[in-house]
Amino acid sequence: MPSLADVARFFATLTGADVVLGLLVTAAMLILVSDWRLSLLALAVQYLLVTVLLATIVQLQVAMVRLIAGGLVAVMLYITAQRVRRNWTRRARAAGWKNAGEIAALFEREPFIVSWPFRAIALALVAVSTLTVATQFPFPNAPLLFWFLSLWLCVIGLLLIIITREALKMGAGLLTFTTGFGILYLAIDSSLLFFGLLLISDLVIALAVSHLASVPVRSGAQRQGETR
Amino acid sequence: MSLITLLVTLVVVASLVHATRFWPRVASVLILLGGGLLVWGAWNASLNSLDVVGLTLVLDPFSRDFLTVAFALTMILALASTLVRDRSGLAFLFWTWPAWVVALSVNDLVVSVFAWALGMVAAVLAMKPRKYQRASGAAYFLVLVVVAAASLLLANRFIVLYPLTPERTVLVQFAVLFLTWGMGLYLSVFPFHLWVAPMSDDAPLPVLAALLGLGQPIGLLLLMSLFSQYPWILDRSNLLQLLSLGGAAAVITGGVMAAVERRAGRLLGYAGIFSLGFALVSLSHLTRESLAYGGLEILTRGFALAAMACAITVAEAVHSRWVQRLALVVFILSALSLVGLRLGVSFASRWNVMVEWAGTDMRLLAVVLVAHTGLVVGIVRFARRWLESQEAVAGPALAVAGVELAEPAVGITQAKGVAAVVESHSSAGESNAPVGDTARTSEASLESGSESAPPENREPAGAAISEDYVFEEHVRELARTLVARYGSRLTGLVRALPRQTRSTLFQLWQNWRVGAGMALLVVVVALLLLTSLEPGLWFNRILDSLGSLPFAQ
Repeated sequence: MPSLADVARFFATLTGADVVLGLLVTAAMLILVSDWRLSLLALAVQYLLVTVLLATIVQLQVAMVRLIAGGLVAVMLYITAQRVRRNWTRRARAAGWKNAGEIAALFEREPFIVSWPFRAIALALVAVSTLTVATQFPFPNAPLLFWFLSLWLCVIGLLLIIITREALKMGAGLLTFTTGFGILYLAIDSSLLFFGLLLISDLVIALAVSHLASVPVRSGAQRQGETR
Repeated sequence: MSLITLLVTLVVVASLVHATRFWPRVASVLILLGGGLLVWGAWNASLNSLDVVGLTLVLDPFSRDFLTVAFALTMILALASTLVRDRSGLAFLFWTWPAWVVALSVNDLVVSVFAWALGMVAAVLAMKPRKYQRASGAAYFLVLVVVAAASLLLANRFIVLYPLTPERTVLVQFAVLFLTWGMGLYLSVFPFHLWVAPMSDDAPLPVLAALLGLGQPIGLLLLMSLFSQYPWILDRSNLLQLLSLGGAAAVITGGVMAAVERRAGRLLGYAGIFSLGFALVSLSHLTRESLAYGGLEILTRGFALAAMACAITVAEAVHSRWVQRLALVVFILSALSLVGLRLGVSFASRWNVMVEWAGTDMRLLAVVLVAHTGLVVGIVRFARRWLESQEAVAGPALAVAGVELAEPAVGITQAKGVAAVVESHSSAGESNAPVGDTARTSEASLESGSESAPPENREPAGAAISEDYVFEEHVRELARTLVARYGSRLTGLVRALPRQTRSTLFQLWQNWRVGAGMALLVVVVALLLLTSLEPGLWFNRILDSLGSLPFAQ
């Protein structure tokens, strides 16, 4: 079991550029990758990188709580996704479907409403816009690095919410947004009370997202024009 | 009762109601007792401050009165919710309140905003999306709660920072920007009102009424609290003007959108926006009298929304002719309250605003009157569809009753038929009119559920089995076992009673929903009539509870 000193040494090996690059890559994975396992992995790595960043403005022990909460969130979403898929399979078998391939084809659907080329273009546009806004319009009392990364995560989170049709993916986008907001707020006010409340709210949001992703529908009626 | 005791009572009541949600009669009794205790506790809540982990919790008199009314309305909504089949979200009507009580009482705006948002998120746990695993209205409402809370927190930060560097006026501009954005989103002011309609599709009507009628006004109270703590913000910004404009826009938006709305939830949502607009305009004047009128509007709005939701919920759940008629009367009376056409409190709270508009801008008054007409049109259309469905109640009601009786006999493994039956009952909340559409949905679902082969392009019929239903079936089995084991003693007691008494008790037990629904609606009608009397009493009570506010002119 690594000690706090080991963790501190590992964090010290990561430079600011590594953190920025890592957050850019994880955010891009959330947008471009459809597979829910890779998305959750990207979310978990994102929490790790944010912990490294926060360790520069708060104590390491306090920053580690962010990592723990992030891990719990990722576990909650993972368990929810697994449970949902098990339920799909059970219900399909109960209704008479036998072939695993057919069952998978029934329920595996694209979580995004646009295809990946459009998502790539959107990502590029968002990246350029974020860089421009962060450099041209500095946020009062916030260091540039924190402002840029916060803006990047918030905008990526909102983009993910807009382009996805799946509740779990939307939850990942929402949690990315709260992570970005947390970075910005802690940069201008490193209050432990706020930090604690933010972590609690992340857990509650993950709980709500798990509920929305796994609860049986209220009505099976499709809206006009909707297909799958 | 101290705040800590009130919070503990809330948690205990919510837990007990959640545990007994599978036994609606028991849950109803618990809600009556627990709700009564909460109302009494709020009425006698201590105004002394309480220090908890460095934070000070203290209720002001208006918040105490608001909580009293809110707990009473929550009790009414919860009682109505016990009559419906799907009671999974019942306890969340109470689970939202510990966080909201903290939001009202804590002296730190950061904690208040978090608590308010957490209460809203708790209400999301009572919602059910329209499509399985898809991001829908409930999900977007969750996004809105988070984004709006973030905006308010940033605004608060800038407001706190500004006095340290008064030469940086950009901080005030940012504060106003984020405050407008956050409050506009939460209060569904135009153009931030788009989330109301999709959210109302996913939320059960009682939860929707609680969110809009009781949860939203907490934001206004937090805003007043902000003005109390930082009165300079009113001089250095145009917040009051924005509040007034937002109010007028909300009135127009709500009225116009309600005119074309056919769905119960959306009609409630837009009616709520319409009424909230008047509260915002009243609050923007910031005199003690206008604040009192704003408070009156808030309480009237909450009561009207709760009464409308209660009426529609009871009408959907209880297929009795007399209950249907009484529910329609309650709906119409409470809707007239929202419109401001019913004499009494609602009329009094609107009068000053309308007179002011008549004196300053006749064009605005004309548009507002058009919005009034729009809301009336929407209400009349809904009531007309309700009446039409009541005329066809005999045939479809029997079909629904037949499905209810047959359901316990169907085995869980017969997935298609059971799923169709469960789906038909789960979709009761979305009907445009309370009875007829529910019955037609039931029949259509039964027909679609009878197909044997899994179709190619549809989800399997068994995919719609509710896990709540499976658990509920296990609980029923346990109850049957207990009754078989210990029921003979109870049977002996009952047999000792006279035959007529036994027959009456049995009828009451079997048809408890009819009796409970009727009693609930009678109480709501009585309260509606009570609030029509002596509006001056209510006004003076609110005026006294507002006390002396530092920012009031």
